[in-house]
Amino acid sequence: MYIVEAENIVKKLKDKVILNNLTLRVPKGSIYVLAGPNGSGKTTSMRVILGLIKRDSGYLRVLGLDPESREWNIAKSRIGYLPEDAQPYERLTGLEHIVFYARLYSQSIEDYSGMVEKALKIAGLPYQILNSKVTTYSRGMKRRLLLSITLMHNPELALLDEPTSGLDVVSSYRIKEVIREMRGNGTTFIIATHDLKEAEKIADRVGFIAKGSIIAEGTVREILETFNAESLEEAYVKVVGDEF
Amino acid sequence: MLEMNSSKAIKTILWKEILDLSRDYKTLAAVIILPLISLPSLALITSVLYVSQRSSILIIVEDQDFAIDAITLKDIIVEKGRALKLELTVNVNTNKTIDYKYSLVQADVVAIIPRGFKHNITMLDGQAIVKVSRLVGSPASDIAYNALQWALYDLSVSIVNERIRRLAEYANISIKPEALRNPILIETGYHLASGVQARVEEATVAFTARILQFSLFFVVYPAVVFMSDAILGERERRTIEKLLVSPLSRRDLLAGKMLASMILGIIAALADSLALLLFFILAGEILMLSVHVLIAWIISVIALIALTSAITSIVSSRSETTRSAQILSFAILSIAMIIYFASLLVDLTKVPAWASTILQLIPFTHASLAIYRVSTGDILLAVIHLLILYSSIILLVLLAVREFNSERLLLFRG
Repeated sequence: MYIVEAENIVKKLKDKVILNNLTLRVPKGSIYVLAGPNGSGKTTSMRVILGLIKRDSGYLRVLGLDPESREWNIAKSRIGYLPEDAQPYERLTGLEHIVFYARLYSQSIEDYSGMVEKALKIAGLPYQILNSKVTTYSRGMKRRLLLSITLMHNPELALLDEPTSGLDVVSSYRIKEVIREMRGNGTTFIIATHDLKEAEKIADRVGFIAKGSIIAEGTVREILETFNAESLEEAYVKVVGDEF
Repeated sequence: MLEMNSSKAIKTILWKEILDLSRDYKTLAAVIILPLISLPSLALITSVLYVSQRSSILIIVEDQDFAIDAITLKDIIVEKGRALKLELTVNVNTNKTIDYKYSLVQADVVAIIPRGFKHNITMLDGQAIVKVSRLVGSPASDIAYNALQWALYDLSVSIVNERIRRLAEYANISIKPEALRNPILIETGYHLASGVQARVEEATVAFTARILQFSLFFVVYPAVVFMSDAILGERERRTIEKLLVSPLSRRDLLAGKMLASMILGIIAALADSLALLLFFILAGEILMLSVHVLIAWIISVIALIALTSAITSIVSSRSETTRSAQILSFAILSIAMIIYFASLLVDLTKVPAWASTILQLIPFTHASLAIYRVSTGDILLAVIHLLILYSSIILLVLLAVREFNSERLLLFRG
C-alpha cells in the first residue's frame, strides 16, 4: 500500500520546468530517501506533495487525498514537515514552541499532554535550555527542537528536508535514531537529502532525482546491484553521468 | 481526524503573535513609547523655549516732545511682555546723533518715533507714524513686534478716547467713547447641524473631535508595521512554511495574525492619540470629550486598523520583502493620511460635489466623517458612515484571504 502516489507531476515556474513528469510511490511505513544534488527538485517535490505549491499536471494522492482538494486541510494534521531552511521564532523559548504547536495539532487536553511529552522526549534538551529563548541555541539544538514539533503528533507521513545537513555528529545521530524509532511505530518518512552516505544508512527505498525526474528507484541493495556500484554515490554518478 | 476548530486556531495564533510581537521591544518602543514621549515633549520643550527667547526692542525718539511719553510707552511694552511671560528688553534712545545701522544690530525690533509725532497725536485729526524695522527670519523679532503692536494699540485707544472726549466737549454732548469706537458688538453663540442651539462645551467637544479626526493620521502607521512583519517577517525569518502545513486554514491563520496586529495597533493608536491630545493641551488648547465622540472614535480606530491590516496583508502577499511591503502600504495609505490631515482644517462635508464624491469612494473618509457627525449631533449619519466603513473592511478582508496564498508566499510570485 502506498501512502504517496505521484505520476507524471509537472511543475513550471516562470517557464522553467522544475518537476518533469515526476513519478514516485512511497510504501506505507518505510523511509523513502529522495536523493539528489541541490536544485534537482527535491524541495519542490515535497512542497507539491504537501499542497503548498500547485502542480501544473499529473496525478497525486497523499494519504488517499489530492493535496489540492478541499478535504486536504483535514489531512494536514496527519502530516509532519520539516523544511530545509526552517527556523524557530527567535523571540520564543523552546518550550513555548512546543506549547504553540501542541495547541495547533491537539484535539483534546489528553492529545495536548501527549504531544508535549513526546516533543520533550524527541528534543532531548534540558529544561533550563527549553526555558531559554532560541537565540541562545546551537544549530543542532534548533534542528532537534524543530524535529520534535514536526513529529510530536505522531504523523502518519513525515517529510524531512535535509534533516541532518550541517549538524554535528551527536545531533545528526540522535535525529536518525528518532526517525528509525518512529518508522518502527508506523510513521512513513520521505527524507530529501543531497548526502548519499546518509541516505545509505537510513533508507528503506531510495529515489534518485535529477532535473525534476526520478531517474532510478529501489532499495539500497537493488540500486547498488543494478548499477554494479559500491556505494549510492558511485551509483548516482553512473546514472547521471557527467551531466552535473 | 477532525478539522481544527476555528476559534481555537485563531486564539492559538493570536497567543503566539502577541507573545512574539510583545518581545520585539525596539518596534514596540518605536510605535508606542516614542510618540507618547516625543509629542508632549515637543509641545512642552517648544513652549518653554518659546517664552525663554530673549527679544529686544529699541525705541529711537527723534521727536524730543515725546521723550517723556516714550518712557511710558516702554513701561507698557514691558508690562505686555510680562503678561505673556516673555524675556523682553526695551530700551529708549533719545540721543540726536544715533548710528542707525548700529541700532539695528542691537535690537530685534527698532521703532523710530519721528519728529512731529507728539504734535500729530495731540491734534484732533492728526495721523502719527511709527517707523518699525524687524529682524528678518527671527521668531524672537515676531515676539517683540507683537508686544510693540499691542502697546501701540493701547496708546491709540487712549488717543482716540481723548479725541472723542474733546469732540464731545466742543459739541457739548455726552458720548460714550467705547460705543463710538465700536458701534457693532458681536455676541457669538453656537448651533448644531440639527439647528438646536449648542453650548460652549459642545463647541469645545466639536473642536476636540476635529483633533481626534486628525489623530487617525497616526493610527495607520503601527498597523502597517505589525501586519507586514506578521506575514513577510515570518517568510524572511523562515518560520512560515511550518505554519502553512499545520492544520490551520489560511483564513484562520490570517485572522489570527490580523487580530494580533489589530490589538497592538490599537494600543499604539491609544498611545499616539493620547500623545497628540497632550500636545494640544500643552500648546494651550482647551479640549473636552463626550462619551459619544469617544465611542465613535474607538469604533473608527478599530475599523481603520482592520482596514489598514487588510490592505497591508494584500500588499504583503504580493511583495518580496517587508520593507517593500511597508513602502507600498504607506504609499497607498498616504491617501488616508491626506484626508485625516485635511480634516483638521477642512469641513469635509462642505467641499464641492466632485470632491465629495471622490472622498466618499475612499473608505478612510468615513472613519473621519463618523467622528465629525457624532460631534455635531448627527448620530444617524455617523452610523451610515460606519456601516460603509465596515462593509469595505469585509470586502478587503475577503480579498486578503484570497491573496494569502502559500505558493505566492513561498516562491514570491507577485
